[in-house]
Amino acid sequence: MKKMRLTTLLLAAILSVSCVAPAVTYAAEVEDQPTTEVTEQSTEKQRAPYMLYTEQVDLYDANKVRVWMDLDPAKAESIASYQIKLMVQDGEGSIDPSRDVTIELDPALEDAQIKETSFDKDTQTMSIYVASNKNLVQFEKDAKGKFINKLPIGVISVPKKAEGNAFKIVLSDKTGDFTTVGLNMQTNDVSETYGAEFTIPVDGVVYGGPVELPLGIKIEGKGTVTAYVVDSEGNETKATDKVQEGDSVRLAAIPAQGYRLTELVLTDSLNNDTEVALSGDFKFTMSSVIGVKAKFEVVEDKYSVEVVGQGASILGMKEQKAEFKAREVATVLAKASADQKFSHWKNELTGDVVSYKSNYSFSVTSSIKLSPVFVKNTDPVQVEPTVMLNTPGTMAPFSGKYRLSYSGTFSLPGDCKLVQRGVVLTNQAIDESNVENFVKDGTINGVKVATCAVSGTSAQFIINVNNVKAGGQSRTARAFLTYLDGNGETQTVYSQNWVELVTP
Amino acid sequence: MKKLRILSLCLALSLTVCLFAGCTDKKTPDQPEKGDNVSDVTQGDQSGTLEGQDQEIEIDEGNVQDPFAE
Repeated sequence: MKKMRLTTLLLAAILSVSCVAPAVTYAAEVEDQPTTEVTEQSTEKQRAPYMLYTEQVDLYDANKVRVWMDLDPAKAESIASYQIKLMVQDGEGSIDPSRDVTIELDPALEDAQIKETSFDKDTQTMSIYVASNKNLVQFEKDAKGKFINKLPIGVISVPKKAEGNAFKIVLSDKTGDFTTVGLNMQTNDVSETYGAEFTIPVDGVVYGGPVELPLGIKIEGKGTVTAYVVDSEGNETKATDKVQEGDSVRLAAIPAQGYRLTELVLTDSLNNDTEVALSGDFKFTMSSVIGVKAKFEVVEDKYSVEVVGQGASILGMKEQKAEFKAREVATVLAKASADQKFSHWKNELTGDVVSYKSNYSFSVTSSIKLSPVFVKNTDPVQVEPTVMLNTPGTMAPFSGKYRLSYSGTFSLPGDCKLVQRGVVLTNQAIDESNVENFVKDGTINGVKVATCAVSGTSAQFIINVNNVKAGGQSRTARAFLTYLDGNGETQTVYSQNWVELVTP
Repeated sequence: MKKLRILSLCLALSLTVCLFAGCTDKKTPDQPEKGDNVSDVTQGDQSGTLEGQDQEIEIDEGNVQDPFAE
């Protein structure tokens, strides 16, 4: 019996422990994670009677900041008049006496009888005094639905600086000499009320940082427009639909086959879509919300590709001459006889070497006449650096002026390295007597020869000279190729021909 | 004796239950649901269509401001 009693007691004890232990464990774990409700209550109990808040007014303007004073709703303070001193500091807390700061008082203060503001540039201090016969405190709800009492002040504009634009709005000294007068005419000097050591908290947000601005592109016709951000060293990265304010941007506008670019216009969407000047190199500085509009139109003209000589043909064509749309791809084929081998394609008009490929595909940018050159099987093929300029060039109206286009082709042997290719350009007449000066850094009739190069390594290149005025403006181009030879020395070769275009 | 055996059995069972409850009955706080913080950013098609082009040859194209503009 005794044993039974003992066992029963033990059983009861174990059952009790098995029920209590998990609850204790749970309680201990829960205590490690205090509830937010407890946190909020303790925060509200310690709430400051005033706090200065700021916010950026415009998504695309980091130098305009709205300022207001947040009041503790529990005090239910009514304010008919107030004075306050705000200060503008840079991101590190120093002042910049060069900034001419302005303030636009909040529209809620419109009916106040007295509204005075003054700015001391040396101390970067804005003094504000507002007097009214009604309560200036606004009652609102914040984003979380919490009641806030807000004393409006205004929007502060800080002039932009190219360097060191960062700034913040703080109070002059601890409380900004914040003094209020209630509807009951009772004056409340915050320093006197809360003590000399009392400090009004400020959110301390730093403004003036780089702004991401949208870049929109609209295309009419067929073609592509790509934007590239260019850094100070000339390196380019493809831009997204937003570009940082102040960045340099280059546009690449490439027409589709059978099309040409006839218009490229930039507009400032933040300023009534006013047109933004775009230089001929299609570069601009991102200064606002920019819209790009490109127009591509059909090119009615067609170009002829002709091959002459035995063993020469055009892929897909029965005849040795065919017509192609602008930028359409043509392939010329050279078939050597049994005792010969292919050396290169030659431009019949200029004599330049065009390509060392017997099956040569190219984008048609001009009419061209090619002939294959063969050598004996026993003879070596001499591959030389070569550059060719298509003739004629093309000219088309563009954004109210003219666009002159010169296209070329180059090839290099395997032991040479490309440095630069493009055209040299002059507005002077060229003939056999002065062509030797028609080179990079040359001078003709006292006028310096311009060098127009294009980046990349494609065998074909085009240089577009934009914004050439109407009225008989002559521009003559000659292709050049600069490379490192097998010994690492810099060499430059030029096309045998040059092309002159004259605007109507 | 029989009653003692039954009680002992109950005792052993209780011990087992107690041990089992102690190991598994630990409540973990609710995990906050992961919201979808990814917003769809749709970029418009900024390139024109290139119809009828079976092959493309890349051309490097450069633009310059007329260096002799007055």
